[in-house]
Amino acid sequence: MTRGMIPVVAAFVLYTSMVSIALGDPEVATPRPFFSASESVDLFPHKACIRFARCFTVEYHGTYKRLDVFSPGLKSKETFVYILVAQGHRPPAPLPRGALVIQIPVKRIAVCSTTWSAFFPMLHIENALVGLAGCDWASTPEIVSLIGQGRITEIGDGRRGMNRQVNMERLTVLRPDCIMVYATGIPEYDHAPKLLEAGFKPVINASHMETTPLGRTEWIKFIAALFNKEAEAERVFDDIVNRYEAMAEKTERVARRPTVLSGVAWRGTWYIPGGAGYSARFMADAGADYIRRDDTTAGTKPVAIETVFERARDAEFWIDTKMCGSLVELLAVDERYRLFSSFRTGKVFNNDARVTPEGGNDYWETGVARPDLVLADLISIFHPELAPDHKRIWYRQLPSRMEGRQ
Amino acid sequence: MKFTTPAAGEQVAFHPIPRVGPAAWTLLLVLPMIAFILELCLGSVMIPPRGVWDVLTGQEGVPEGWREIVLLFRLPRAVTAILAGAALGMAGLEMQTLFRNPLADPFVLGISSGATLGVALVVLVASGFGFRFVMEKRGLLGNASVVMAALVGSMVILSVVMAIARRVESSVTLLIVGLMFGYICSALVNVLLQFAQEHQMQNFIAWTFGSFGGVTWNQLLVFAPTVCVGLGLARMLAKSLNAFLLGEGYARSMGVNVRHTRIWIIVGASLLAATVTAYCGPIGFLGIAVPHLCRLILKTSDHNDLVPAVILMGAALALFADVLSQAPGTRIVLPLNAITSLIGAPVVIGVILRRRQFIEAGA
Repeated sequence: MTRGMIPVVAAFVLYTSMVSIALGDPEVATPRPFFSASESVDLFPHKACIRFARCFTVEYHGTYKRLDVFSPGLKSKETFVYILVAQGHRPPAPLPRGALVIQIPVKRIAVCSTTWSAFFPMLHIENALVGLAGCDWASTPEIVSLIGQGRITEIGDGRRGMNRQVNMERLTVLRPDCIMVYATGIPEYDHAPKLLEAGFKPVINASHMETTPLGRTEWIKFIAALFNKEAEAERVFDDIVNRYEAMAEKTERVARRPTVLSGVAWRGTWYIPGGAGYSARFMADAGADYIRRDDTTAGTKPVAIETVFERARDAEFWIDTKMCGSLVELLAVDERYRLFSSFRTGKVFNNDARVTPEGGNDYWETGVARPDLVLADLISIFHPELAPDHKRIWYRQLPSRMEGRQ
Repeated sequence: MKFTTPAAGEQVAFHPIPRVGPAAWTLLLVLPMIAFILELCLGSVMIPPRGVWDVLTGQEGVPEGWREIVLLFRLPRAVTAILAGAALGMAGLEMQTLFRNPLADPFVLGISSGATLGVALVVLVASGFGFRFVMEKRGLLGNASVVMAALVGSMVILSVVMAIARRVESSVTLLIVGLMFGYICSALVNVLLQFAQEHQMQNFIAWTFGSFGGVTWNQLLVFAPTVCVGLGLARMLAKSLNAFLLGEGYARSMGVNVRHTRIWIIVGASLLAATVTAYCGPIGFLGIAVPHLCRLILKTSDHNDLVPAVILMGAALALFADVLSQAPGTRIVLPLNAITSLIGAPVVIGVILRRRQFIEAGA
């Protein structure tokens, strides 16, 4: 660096530090109320009680609710606090550190993932949904029809999946009361900081961090808390829990638990779901013996193909073959799949029966809201005698060749 | 920094090197053997060496699972590693000599970038159901389409580079053209990545990690002969490569048809690099490190010695890297590319630091 550069750099450092001092932390800048919230009144007679979800809590304080969201990033220990204040009331003072104040009930909401869109019709609040990122992925009929009527605006920027950024200009026009976002802990993918800076109210939904199907579904209560719909949410969720548990009970005493393999290898490495995760729980509750049930991790791991092969060559079933939609396609990825007995007997199933032309899979939409039906799909695969009348929704047996659909 | 051609008048003759004894050659022969044995015996699944031996010699009474793991998973991976390591080392040697640049690697002419672009097109864009349906009809799904895409991509880049090579005299110009094509390809890949879906991105990134484990016996039927042709070509070019070491002018005065030979060197090296990239993904640093290690051990830059040495050392390093990437004792797999870089980068640093006492390393 030349000598002449030093003053320039010094000036830049000075400028940036001044700007950051001047702007400060956006949350701290929220004006303090003059009176503290009264605890004597109770505006929320219906209270949500969290039974399965581990990543959020909700507390009721008369005129406001406190929502806490935990560890959305894999490594982060951060907690996000949302103070939901009833219309016409003041937020509590002092505010918890870093808390974001939101007036409820929310009237207009934008959502950054189709994963949660099935919850809205279940709570009859789909009309409050004004913006959605990834409209071409949506499968929920009510949402698709609202998109068709032009009442839900696309807020993504046309990119797919994690790469998607939010279109700030459209959001500004939409003026949603809050925006539901996911958080990965990876700055490039997370929308919350940018939205906060732009003056929006991003609410982090960490349902994907839940390791049980019912835990994920219970985030319906998280959405309900924003709309004062706790009573409906409790009713809908309890109903799902009862159905799910009744299903799971049927498989508790099965004489034989068939062994199951999950996932596919790509170039010699198998990306296999952990034994303590979401899909492992589904398999266990469906009366199956997942080949990695002794594993204690939740996330997907790269594993040498020979390890999987040793454990799974005699497994009876094979599910979740991801992008492979036929046996021929599986063989094209790796001809050694032929050695698996599940492949030879054709007992290979994938959860891709309901995929939109653009690639949105309803398994990750309606399937997240209705784990009881996903479980029924799986039971009808592993123990057909226990679910004789069930017509599978998301799972289908792989044909040997692709049928020319579309 | 100086890694361009030696200035005119600089002392660049072959040093009268005392032939290193058979010790160096013994080392070069023993290393790949040890690595081969480790590759077959170590893995995520515990199989005792005795069991591996019984499988290889076709003894009765070995568990069927062991037989399949050794014969269908470990052996093809080991053979692939040997061929890929030898090919990348050789391509690196040829490129380093051609460009008289110690940092040249098999991919300086944009070969791997072209392959990457081809794979990106297939993996990131063309995964819609309708497309897959057509591909299935043509028998071009999965790995087959990835290999084809990588080969086509690198061949397109190669033919453009060749067209330019026939016109321009200077190797440095060629080098810059190759680099620029690399930039163009990675820019296009970035555009494609931007619009890809998660699972497509995951597949693409997994491909860029590199792997010897995805090559099966059927694919080896094409892979092995192609690599052998490329290696044979290098052997035949050894004498011309020696002449190139001393500069194109010197080569010309030795009676070497420079333009003609240069084209053959580029074709040979690119064939090797393109084939390996197509089947194993872009594997970095082996191509740079292997020739330097061989020069270091043999204390020569004579290609008659370096060609066989590079084959042996390339095989050994690739096998060792693969053993490490399988992380023996654990169940996980590390990206092969990370391991080859961890081995290769220190070698290159060592080379740069020792350049003074270094024999003319094709540089």
